[in-house]
Amino acid sequence: MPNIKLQSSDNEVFAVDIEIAKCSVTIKTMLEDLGVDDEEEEVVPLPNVNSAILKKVIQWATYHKDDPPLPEDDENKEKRTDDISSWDADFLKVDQGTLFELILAANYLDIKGLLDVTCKTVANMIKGKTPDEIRKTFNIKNDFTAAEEDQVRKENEWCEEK
Amino acid sequence: MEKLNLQDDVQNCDGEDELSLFRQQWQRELEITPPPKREPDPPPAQAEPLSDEDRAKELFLRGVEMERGGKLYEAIQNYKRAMQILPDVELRLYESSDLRSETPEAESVLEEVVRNNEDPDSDDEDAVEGEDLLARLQRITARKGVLCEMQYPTKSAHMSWLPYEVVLLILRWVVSADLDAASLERAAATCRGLYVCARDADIWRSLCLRTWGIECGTPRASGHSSWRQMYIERPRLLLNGCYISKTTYLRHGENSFQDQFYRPWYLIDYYRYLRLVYTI
Repeated sequence: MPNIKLQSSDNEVFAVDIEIAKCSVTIKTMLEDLGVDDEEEEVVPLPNVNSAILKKVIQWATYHKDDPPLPEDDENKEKRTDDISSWDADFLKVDQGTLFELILAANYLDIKGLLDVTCKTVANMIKGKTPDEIRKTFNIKNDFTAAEEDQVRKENEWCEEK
Repeated sequence: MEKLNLQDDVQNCDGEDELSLFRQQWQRELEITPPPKREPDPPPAQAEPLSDEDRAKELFLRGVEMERGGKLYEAIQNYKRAMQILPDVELRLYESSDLRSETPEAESVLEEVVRNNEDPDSDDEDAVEGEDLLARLQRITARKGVLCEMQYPTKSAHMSWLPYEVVLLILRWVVSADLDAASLERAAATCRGLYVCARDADIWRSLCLRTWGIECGTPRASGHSSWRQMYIERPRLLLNGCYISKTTYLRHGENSFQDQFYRPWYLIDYYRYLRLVYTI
């Protein structure tokens, strides 16, 4: 089984099956463009991903290596947020910082499946909450002025009628 | 016959002659026609409708005041009298008030721009009346470079680390198949950056497409200012409750006082709906 070596931002090297690494479109395109030989094992540096996150990403990709390719995003596709598999749900029982880092890594490595499931998880944390609860959940500062907040409240009145 | 002759003349004699002849004739005509006939005419033409207009406007405004004070009957009397003098009094009032409000608005925007040039770092905290909130916040967040700020400093990754397109992706999932626009609106109310993201036209466009299908048209064609306005204003199937009945009846519309042949009727359809609210 041909391997590829991925190097994290903190210089840890991971040997990964090429087929698994190819779930990252970024790595796949790079391999195709460079025409890397199977024999000489080159090290691919990933300066935007640290070892803890890269380990998680490889764990996710290994579990999902036999998944059918995801259909292209299309407007009319049913977008459900309650269909996260139990394995993924367990996998994503991490602190918020790790979750955001996973999103950033999935975005950088272009792994659609992982990006979808992590974004869904964040979306589920937003849904059904009041603005104040969202702020508390994500440690967000309310930077509206009083007047702006008032205007936003007015603009949003249509969906808040009691 | 005469016209034909004239044309022949024009064709036959050379241009210069014709032109000077015409000039002389014209000057004579000007001398003959007394200037007073023209000049006094416009002032009364202007003055009279003006006074009429003013009278109508005054009556209308008095009506508005009475309506506010709850005196509906008197208000209607005033409105009717105003309309008798000037049928389009409301429109004219609206236009004139629009003109009045337009100038300060333009000025304040100008001021804003000037101030920004002077001090690009200022966070223009004071609200500007009239300027679109979205445009203003877009400018502010673009200048800042991050979408949101931390309330308490942390070392771990934060929402503010995410790029704009990823936040949009998350918000699309917030809307998801449930078309949960309410959650999207609440996310918009958390901070400036998320407000800018949650007003993204593309998200609202897909909400519209999913609601009315591919042939839902464009907001401009149906008279809405944006996809979001269209989603809010246009009647649609509500999904957060249960329709329990449909009622249809006819209502007599108000006859036009000028055209007896125009007899409007309204066909009213309304739906009774039980809305399910989750308390949060």
